[in-house]
Amino acid sequence: MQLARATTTTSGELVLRCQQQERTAQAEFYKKYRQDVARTLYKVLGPDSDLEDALQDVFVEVFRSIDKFKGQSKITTWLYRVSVNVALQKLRRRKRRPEGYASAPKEELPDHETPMRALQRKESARLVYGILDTIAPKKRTVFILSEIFGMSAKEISEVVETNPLTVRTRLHYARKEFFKKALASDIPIALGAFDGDLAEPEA
Amino acid sequence: MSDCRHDIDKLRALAEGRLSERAASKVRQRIDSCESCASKLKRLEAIRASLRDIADLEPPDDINYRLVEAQVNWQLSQDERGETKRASDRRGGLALRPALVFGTLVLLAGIAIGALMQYRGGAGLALTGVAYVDKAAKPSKAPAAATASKAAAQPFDGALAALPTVLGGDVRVIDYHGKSHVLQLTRPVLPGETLVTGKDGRVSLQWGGGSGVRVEPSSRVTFAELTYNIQALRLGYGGVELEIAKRRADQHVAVVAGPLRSEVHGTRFLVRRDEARAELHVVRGVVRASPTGRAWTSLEQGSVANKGDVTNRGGHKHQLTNNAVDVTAGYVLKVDGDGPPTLSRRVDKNDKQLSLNLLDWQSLAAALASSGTLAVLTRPIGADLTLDSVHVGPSNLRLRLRIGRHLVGVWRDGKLLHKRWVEIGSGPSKLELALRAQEKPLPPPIVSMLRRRAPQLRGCYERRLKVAQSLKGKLRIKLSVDDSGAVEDASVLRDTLDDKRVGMCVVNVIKRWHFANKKALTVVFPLVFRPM
Repeated sequence: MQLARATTTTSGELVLRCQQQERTAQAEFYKKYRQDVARTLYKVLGPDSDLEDALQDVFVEVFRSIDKFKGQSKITTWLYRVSVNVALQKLRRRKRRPEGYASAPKEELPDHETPMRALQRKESARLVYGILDTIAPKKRTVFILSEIFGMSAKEISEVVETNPLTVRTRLHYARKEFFKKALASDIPIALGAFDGDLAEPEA
Repeated sequence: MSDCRHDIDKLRALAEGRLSERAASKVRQRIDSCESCASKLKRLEAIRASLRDIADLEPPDDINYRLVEAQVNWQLSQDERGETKRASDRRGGLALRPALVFGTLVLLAGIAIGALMQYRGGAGLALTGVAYVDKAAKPSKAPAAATASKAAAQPFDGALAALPTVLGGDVRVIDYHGKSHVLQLTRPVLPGETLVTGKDGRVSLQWGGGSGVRVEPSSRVTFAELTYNIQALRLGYGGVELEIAKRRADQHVAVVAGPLRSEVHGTRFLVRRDEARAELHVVRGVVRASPTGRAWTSLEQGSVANKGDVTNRGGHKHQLTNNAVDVTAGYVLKVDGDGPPTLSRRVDKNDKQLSLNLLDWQSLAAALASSGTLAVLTRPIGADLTLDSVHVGPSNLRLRLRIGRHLVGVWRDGKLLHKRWVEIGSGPSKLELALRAQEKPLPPPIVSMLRRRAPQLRGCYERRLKVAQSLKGKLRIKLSVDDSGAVEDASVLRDTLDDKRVGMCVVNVIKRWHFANKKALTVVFPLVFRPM
């Protein structure tokens, strides 16, 4: 009976079956959401993180605590929450680098030719995450959820399980710190931002 | 840029278009007259563009989702089976905590266990573990466990593969092309392939959650069919023991051994074949036996020939219907050539003690996807080995283990001589765990003294460990006791620690010892120190 059901399930049904610790449902759940979770983790942790390790931690946590999911929020929000919590743990464990962005390895780009867009993106991402690494994990998380995921304060508050006012405060300070550091850094942030706008001589 | 007096927030608000038209034009006017402000704004816009770029970033394509899934499954299965273990670990944890607080030292079992081993007359022992996980490695064909979740979700008729889990002696596999190779632990056995075990060859294979086979020495068995629905083995000679976790109505598990075909109804049975003779020992559950050649017309129970129903003393019925008999647990069915089968109530005592130690689906998946190989070698061979408290057989053994920590126990004559945690980790790594043994066993008074005074010796090491955190090594101590029980002399024969003070301290400690039994003796023993 369960076998036949496995082929067509809604998210709710799937969650219910996962709550009953049905292994097939867990496999299905994993398959369904693994990419979303990987995307979230990638954006929160940055390109230099051990994504597989984090992904594993998230799904272990998900299946261990799926009983606690009461359906009051969307499953995706709940998954965001677990992913963000795991990412926060990872960030806390990461050794803080006081001048991380300054010491981040620079990949020299050729001066005379325009790098490919993908490379630009990666490069600018690396630079941005270099700065983000110097910001406290909680502030970093709300910043990423707001600036990169485009979430509202209310949505962020659901993910990080706090009230929207706290989120706004954290976000304010996170933005302030990030942009201040980004402006103060010698790293040409504009490098990867615009095609053709590679060399931006500083005043 | 430094002379721009604009607040970053205002410039940012402008860059983000959050200012009203009037406020924006006001800020713009001021920017026009301030070069550094304009530069700042441009940089802010660039930073924002970088953030937008990140929003479009996708995680790399090379994430090994299957490996992650296997690892998740493994952890969950550990959760399931680990409740009691965790409870015992917690108890153990309490005992360990003070040691953790006070230092990071392990005075390796070299003192107590090594000495103890010698005392008990154990012979030299070497444990070598080679652990690796190749994240990119994929089995050549979709093996049973790789499709575990799919298999559990819905029946399919895809080919399975059997994973060898325990291996010893000579075991060869004959492939599709008739070529014979030494069976490697990393290589699953595929349908159509034949296994041949030598005189000392032992192997158990698993193709499903809780289902597998142990092949006895001097046997030849062909995996004629190995699909999710049909698993059929053909026994050329020798013996096989099967354990079948669950049998669904549409699932068939059968062993053909010459004149006898045994089809599983129950869970565990043995089939042995010697030319035209075949035996079926049912250990647990019920197995349906039928002839492969001429039809059976009668069933002999002991000396009594029966037709139709056969009832034993326990009230179980062995029905000879449709040319087949259902043999229940505790019974042995013997067939000789084309003659009628004989049923008797006898199952070897040993049969009941055997355990295949089969993995469940998830663990099997984990075993395939993320596992390493552990080789346990003892000199002389023949020590009983336990792995995570489960008896796995006599040494030497090579085992395929899931990643993580495993406890290997070495037993002789029912006594635990040595136990050791081994780490099967990720990345190609090699563990060298060797415990050198002495030629002569240590006398009991020395062993007990070493045990009692181990904390003193640990103290010598711990104190220096605070100075050099990576300090580790081995001391070889020579100790002479005079006939009054006092230590006559103690010296360091060999010191592989990078700190002479540990050796000096140890010698000073030992020199203060006094042995109750007043007998002169001289011994040499190793002390191994390593940080925990």
